[in-house]
Amino acid sequence: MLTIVLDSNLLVSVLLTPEGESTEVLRRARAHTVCVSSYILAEVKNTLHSPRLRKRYQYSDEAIERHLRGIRIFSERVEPKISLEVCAAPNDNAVLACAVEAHADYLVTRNKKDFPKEYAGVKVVSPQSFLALTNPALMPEQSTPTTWPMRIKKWLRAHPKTSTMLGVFFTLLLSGWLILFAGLPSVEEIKAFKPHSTVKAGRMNWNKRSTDSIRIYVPLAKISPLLQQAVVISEDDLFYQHNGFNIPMMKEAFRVNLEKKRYVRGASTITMQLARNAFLHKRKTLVRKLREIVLTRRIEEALTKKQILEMYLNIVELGEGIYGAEAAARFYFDKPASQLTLAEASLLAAMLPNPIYFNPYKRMKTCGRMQKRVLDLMALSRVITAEQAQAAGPSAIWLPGTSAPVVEPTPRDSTSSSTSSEPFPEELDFPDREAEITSSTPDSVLKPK
Amino acid sequence: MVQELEVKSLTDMNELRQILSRVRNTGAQFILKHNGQPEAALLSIADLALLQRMRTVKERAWDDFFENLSEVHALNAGYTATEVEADVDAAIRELRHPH
Repeated sequence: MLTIVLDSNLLVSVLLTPEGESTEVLRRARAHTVCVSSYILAEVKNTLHSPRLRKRYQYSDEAIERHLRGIRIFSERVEPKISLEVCAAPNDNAVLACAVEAHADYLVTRNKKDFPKEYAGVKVVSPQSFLALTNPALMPEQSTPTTWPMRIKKWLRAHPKTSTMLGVFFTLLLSGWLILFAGLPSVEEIKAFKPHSTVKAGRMNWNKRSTDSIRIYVPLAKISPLLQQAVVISEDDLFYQHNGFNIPMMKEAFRVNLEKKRYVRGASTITMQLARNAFLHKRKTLVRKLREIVLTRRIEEALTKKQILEMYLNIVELGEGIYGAEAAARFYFDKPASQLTLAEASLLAAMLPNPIYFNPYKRMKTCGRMQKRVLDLMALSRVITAEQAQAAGPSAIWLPGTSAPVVEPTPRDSTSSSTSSEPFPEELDFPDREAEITSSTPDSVLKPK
Repeated sequence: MVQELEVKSLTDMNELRQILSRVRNTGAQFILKHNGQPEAALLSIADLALLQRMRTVKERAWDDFFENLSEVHALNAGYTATEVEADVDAAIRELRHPH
């Protein structure tokens, strides 16, 4: 909004003719602040009473008064601080003084040549110039946004369609974010998380066990290092190197699954399995996979590798309702996890891909084959020697309640070499675990009394 | 008395409450500045209502002003704008510079 002072000649002309620029200037001035002084009002009155105009044009005294009253109401009154003599005397300077006092942007007059071009910040312009200056089509933007939020707001207002699309996009983004992150434990909650033991090891009567879940939480120090090594080597050999994700393995799994057009190979690391087993539901969905990725990063951030392995070995399922290494060691071998032999440790590690299906009481032959693979891997990794791997085969396992040994190694097992370049086939085609769970026999039945 | 207020300095909620209390109770007015530039004004609801009334009055005055012109315009319809403007300019010149 501009502040303007209109010279008396415009204010007089507008009363007498509708055609001239004066009327248009007044119409344009309506959108701005118009200032007048007592001198200007007096000059308008005196001019309208002058004989020159009175003789020629038709208007009443009442019309003059009404005209002046209108000007007084729509305009702002300013009185310049100049001497009374100057103000009283008819003078162009008195009009300019009003504009200066009002801090006006423009003084609009038809007698432009009687004034300086600019005085004390007031620009003296002709009616034509004023009309050009206030032309809506040519007017510069009055409020140029100075800050980024203002610029963004202005841009959004100027582009309503894009704004709507952006709104929808950000709503979807927010919904996605909520689906992915809502309810996930924070880094602090992961640090404080510790699964509870459901029974005390010494008081458990395994023969009278119902189908309730069993977990006996023990620190990593009380879990045989052989089991730790067997699990890491068989499940996630780069566990100590990666940050939660084994990218090469994921790429390879993706390639193989794509080739076979079905799910034949997973690429879950120990941390990803922990995220899934400890904090997420068991239904296979894309959302769960995405939440698993987010959670895996948080677990890696919250816990050390040893803490991750300890939690994993205490949470992982090793038979129907058997959770954790300690419960599994006591259930299958009637001993604590700290006393597991190489054969026993490798058998437990071999069960991990599908602990319900690979039940040694039910399918010892298959379990033995899997166990041999784990031993081969351990030998390849030079954690054990080939001789140790050979000696710790299925024949070295005795399950309480069965006649020892449980099963003789299959011809294929006995002929396979631990130093073979390909210790097991590329594809491990296991039955669907969920289907197996529903049809599996309870452990209380499987385990002989 | 209009006071100036730098927006960036308004970090204390208690201070802001005091300012608003002054505006409401005493009618104090503030010019809000951002980086030294005046950007907005803080004034009481009563003052705002007054401003709105003034604006309405002015709008009506403008309407009445243009409406009242038509009567005189009709009386002097025989004169062109150029004629009128020349006569007005001459009359004012005589008034300002009588000699």
